[in-house]
Amino acid sequence: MSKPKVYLCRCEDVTVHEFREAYREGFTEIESLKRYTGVGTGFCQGKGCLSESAGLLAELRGCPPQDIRPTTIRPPAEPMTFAQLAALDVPAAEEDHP
Amino acid sequence: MDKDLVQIRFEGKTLDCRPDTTVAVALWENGVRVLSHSPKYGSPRGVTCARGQCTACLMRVDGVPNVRVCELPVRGGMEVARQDTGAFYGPAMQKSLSLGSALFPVGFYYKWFTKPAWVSRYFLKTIRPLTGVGRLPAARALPSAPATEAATRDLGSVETVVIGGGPSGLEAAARAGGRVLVLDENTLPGGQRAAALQAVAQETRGGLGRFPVLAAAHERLDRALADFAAGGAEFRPGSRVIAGYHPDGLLLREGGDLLTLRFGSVVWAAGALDVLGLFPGNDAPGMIGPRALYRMVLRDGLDLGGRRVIVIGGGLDFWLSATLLACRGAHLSLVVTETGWQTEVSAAVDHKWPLHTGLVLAGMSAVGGTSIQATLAPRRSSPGPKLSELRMEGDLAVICNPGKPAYDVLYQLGSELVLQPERGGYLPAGADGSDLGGILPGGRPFRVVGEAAGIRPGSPDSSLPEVRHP
Repeated sequence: MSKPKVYLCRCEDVTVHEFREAYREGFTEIESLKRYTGVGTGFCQGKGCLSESAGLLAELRGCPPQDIRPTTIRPPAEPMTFAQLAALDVPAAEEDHP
Repeated sequence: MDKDLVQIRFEGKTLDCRPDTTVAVALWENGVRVLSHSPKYGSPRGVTCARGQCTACLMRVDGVPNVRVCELPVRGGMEVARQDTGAFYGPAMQKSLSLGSALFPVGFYYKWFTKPAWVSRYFLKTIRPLTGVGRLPAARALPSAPATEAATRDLGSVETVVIGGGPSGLEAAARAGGRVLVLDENTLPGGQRAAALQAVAQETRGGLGRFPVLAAAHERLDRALADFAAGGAEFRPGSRVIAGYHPDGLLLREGGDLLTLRFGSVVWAAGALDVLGLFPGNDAPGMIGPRALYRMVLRDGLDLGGRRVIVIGGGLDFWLSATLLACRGAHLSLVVTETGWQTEVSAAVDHKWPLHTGLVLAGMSAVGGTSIQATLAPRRSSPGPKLSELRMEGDLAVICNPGKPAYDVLYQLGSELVLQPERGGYLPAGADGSDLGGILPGGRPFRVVGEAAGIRPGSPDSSLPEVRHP
């Protein structure tokens, strides 16, 4: 068995090593890293890895942590079935919100 | 007792389970610790968050894939299976898969083999089990369209909604005026630690005095519960806020029901999530955080009597987990990774609990199908004689790191988030470790309190023993 991996995102199996490699390849924004590596795109939608990835990116860039904005955190906060979504009766969201 | 057991089917075997628990805990007690394999590396995973929020416990139940079994109550006769092919993933197969992976670019699974339709059908049938996503549900298992009868129910509006019923939320609710509603996913007010604190206080018969951090937390909980009961606020149990709609709407889930609610102002007291940390093997099955431990032991009745449990970390959760496990007859191995806590350490030593200090967690690995091994390295700054690396084996490891403040619904309501790693992650703008608040873009006032504001319970903020994070 190979050396145990350090997982950054457990849902999509993104390791710290892969994240660093992606940064080295030129993906230096949290949004492009998310799209390229898949970090934060899994079942939990970043609950387990958003702040960890952002912290790691700040470290790689050598910038203050507050410079790393979060990726968009869309509702719902937990997975729902299409049947539940279809039954939803909620007011339309206003347009100026992220 | 035995006559009350129910049987479930797991991959061809019949397992005896208590009827009042979850499928994940029933499997754990029956020695099934690996619930899934991860999608890319096929790494084994066990129950982790015990709250339906992570990928680790997705299983196929009665023909339906991707069911979160950590929150699914046991029902006699249910059919549970892992979604991947299990034995398919051996080291050799994993190695040959990674050799071939260069031929398959990321995203090939939704670009290739999609046309014609029969190719797509065959491809999906083959690829889904291999990736651990599960087979497509059997047609008979699909629920009939519930859209018309399961329409959303509207709860109207309240002057103040408090999201989270822990001590901080209850204190805020007791202070607020007008119609106040407290929403919490637990069945009773008091938050994620309440049941554990109360159990430990009762089972040690007042022995909490030896652990000042626990005594203070229990006293605060009692006071918050009494003030809340004396005030006029309403508590909604089993209610989980799953979306915020700008500017003042919330979507709640209570069991299978969806409800909407509007508010005049909001108090965000949603607490924090378990953080396991970044170290080699940080996905090994058998490793959980303290909040998951409280849920599994007190909500689901997990019996850890006679089991070997390693508790690593610091803070209120470390001492609460250790005492709870000691009360329930687990064989403890404690590793305090923080300095300080002299009073609690001496109390643990008096109780003859095996305890190590001056070490930090360096790695975890699964041993066989049911055990977990922690590798502990000496802390660099540790004074005294140089310690060597230490390995410990257990049935379960509880990692007590500072929690990560919850932020999702408050963000959806329009609050800005700022990354503050020293306080656990993303926090609402302006968070400086004190209770904070402001005005949401839609004009509604908000406040953030407690762990959601990055305040660690049992930290120097609440005048408890001094703790420094390494």
